Amino acid sequence: MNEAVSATRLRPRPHAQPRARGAEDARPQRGQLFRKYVVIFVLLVGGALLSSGLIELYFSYQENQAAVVNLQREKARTAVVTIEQFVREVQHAIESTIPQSWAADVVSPEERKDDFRRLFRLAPAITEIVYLDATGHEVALWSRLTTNQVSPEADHSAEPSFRAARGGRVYFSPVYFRNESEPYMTIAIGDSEPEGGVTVAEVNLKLILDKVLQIQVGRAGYAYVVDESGRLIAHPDISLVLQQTDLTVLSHVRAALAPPQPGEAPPEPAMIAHDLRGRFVLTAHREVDPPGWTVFVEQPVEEAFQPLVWSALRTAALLLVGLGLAVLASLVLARRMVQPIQALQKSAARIGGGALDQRIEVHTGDELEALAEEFNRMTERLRDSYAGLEQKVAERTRELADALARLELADQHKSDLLSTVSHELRTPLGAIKGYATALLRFGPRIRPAERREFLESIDRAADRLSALIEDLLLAQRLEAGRLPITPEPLNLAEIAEEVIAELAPRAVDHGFVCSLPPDLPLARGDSRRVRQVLLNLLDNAVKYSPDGGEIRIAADAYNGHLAVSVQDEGLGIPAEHLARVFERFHRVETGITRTTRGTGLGLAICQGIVQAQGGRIWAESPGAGKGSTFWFTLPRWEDE
Amino acid sequence: MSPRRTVLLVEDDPDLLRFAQVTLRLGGYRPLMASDGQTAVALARKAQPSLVVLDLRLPELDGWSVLETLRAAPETAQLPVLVLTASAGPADQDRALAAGAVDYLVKPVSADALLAAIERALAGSAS
Repeated sequence: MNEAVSATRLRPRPHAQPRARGAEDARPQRGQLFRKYVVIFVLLVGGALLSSGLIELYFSYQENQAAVVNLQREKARTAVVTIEQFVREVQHAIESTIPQSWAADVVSPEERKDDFRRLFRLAPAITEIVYLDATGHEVALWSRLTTNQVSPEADHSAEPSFRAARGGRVYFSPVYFRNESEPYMTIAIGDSEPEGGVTVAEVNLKLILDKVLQIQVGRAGYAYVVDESGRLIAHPDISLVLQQTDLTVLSHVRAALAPPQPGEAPPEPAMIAHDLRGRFVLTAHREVDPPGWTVFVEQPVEEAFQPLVWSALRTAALLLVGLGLAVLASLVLARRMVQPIQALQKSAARIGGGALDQRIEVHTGDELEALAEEFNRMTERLRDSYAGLEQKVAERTRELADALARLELADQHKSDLLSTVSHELRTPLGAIKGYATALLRFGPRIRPAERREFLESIDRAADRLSALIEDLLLAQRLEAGRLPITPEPLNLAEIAEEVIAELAPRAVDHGFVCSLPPDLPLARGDSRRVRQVLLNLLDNAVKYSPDGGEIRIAADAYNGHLAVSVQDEGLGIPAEHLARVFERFHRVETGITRTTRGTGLGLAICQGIVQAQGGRIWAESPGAGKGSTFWFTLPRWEDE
Repeated sequence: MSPRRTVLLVEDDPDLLRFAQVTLRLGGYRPLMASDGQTAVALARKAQPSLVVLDLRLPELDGWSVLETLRAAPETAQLPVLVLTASAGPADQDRALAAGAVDYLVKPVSADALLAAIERALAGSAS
């Protein structure tokens, strides 16, 4: 019953519609899963590529900048060294014309002029040199430009070169220009004694500054020089120099010239700044000492960082390609990941909808395939248990139907039996009632012989009624298993003789042949009941052989049993009735009258008795008119 | 007194047949007797009785078939049939009346009741 109920619950419901709709709803979610995978992949790969590109870019920027700056610093240093060396050489050359203090007075102006002439050959940059005595008047002069005549009246004592150089000091004048384009500088060196004279030389700086201007940094890089005050003294663009441009307008120049403040970091030796044209430049500088100038080497940022730009572009291109590949790969991967999941989900929804023959086909060779296989196994088990349940339900239903049919059959049998019994009872009752009422009604008109016949009929009917009732009760007790059976050792030969003796007076036309072997073992049974069975069988044999004949009684032992047979030469039994003769009130139509018939219960009672004693009973007959044989068995008596 | 009318008795139990025979004779009828269906049908055709008293449980041809056969043949179609049976079921009674029986008696039946039923049946068929 429970199984039937759960089977009903498990049965796929016809309205699986909501679930199917649920599967429809799940479709956008599947899209989301796909998008999610794609986004994650792209973010992962793109992020990795981007960060690696940025890191590479950053370091290459650093390295590039450092390389460029180093180069510029190196150039600046070279320029500075060149200038300083030049200045020192010039200075030493001038100093070589200054006699020792003890000899100063003995050197004549002519001798000085000779020295100066020699000096010109040593230092081609010096264009004019003059010795001023302690009063600032010209003593000796040698010039490449003018006559070498001194102007004795000219007093130079107020000039800064004279005043700053007295007492053995060296003075460098600011740069000035001759012929509108040639840079010059005055170097003055005083005699060693404090109130001595001063040698003043005019130095052409064009060659040395041109050397600085020749410095090349990249294609657009250049160098320039400013003096202590920030004035431009050398620049590739000569016009700027001639305009005496003040470069302190540029913050990096100002910062480079400013004396280092205590506690403040010295200006960055290389930095990015604006140049005069407002372009971004990478700049490096170095001070020239002497004479206190500063060399700047600058390169436009776009050129300095050109490799960097290329590198950045390269990185960006790689990044783009990488991102493209990442998107492609993620599409493919996400598809491969999502497709089996979608297949799983779709099939699961279908199985959930009741399609238990659905198989999930996922061949990814990984955990998903394993999952699908697991799912398939589960579905199979579910299907099997379904089938099992359905089969069980069918079996139970069949059993119930069978039981019901048996019950109905039993009920029908009972009702049939009841109507048969009532019929069997009414017949003798009808005779009693009929004869009695006839006697009452017609009394004296009935002849004495008939009257006697009537009364005998009444007596016979009453006997038949009581026999019928006896047999019914006996049959009922046998059927209910309530007939007391007292087993005892039985000598069947003795019983047979007794029964024949009892029956013989009523069967004068019949011959009885009792052929039981003398050594027949004892049987186990209730002697009264066995006698009853044998009497009934013999009685039947007599009744159903109306023309007389032999009735044979035999017995044999086999397999712990004894079999007894009663054979007649009478009417026989048609084959279809052989098994049914033991049913209650079963009648085989024969020619014999009803008067000779029994109650219709005899054989049923015989069967009940034999079975109650552990034996069985059956009938054999070659056919109608050929006699019949009834057999019954009893267990052998075993000594207890 | 009108000529004695013939009544065919069909009954397989010899005691009951004998009782009915004596009762009818003493009741002023001429009884004919058959103890199986075949004989009953043959006698009914040959002797043209005024009435048939028919048992339902018979050897060879049962009462139902006898009733049917009598009704089917033109010469016996109007012959009144009185059913006398040990079958007490109301279903059998309805069936018998529907098949053309004029009355349905259940055994046991007294001599008086049998004669009264026969008279009733004959009166009914005569009118």
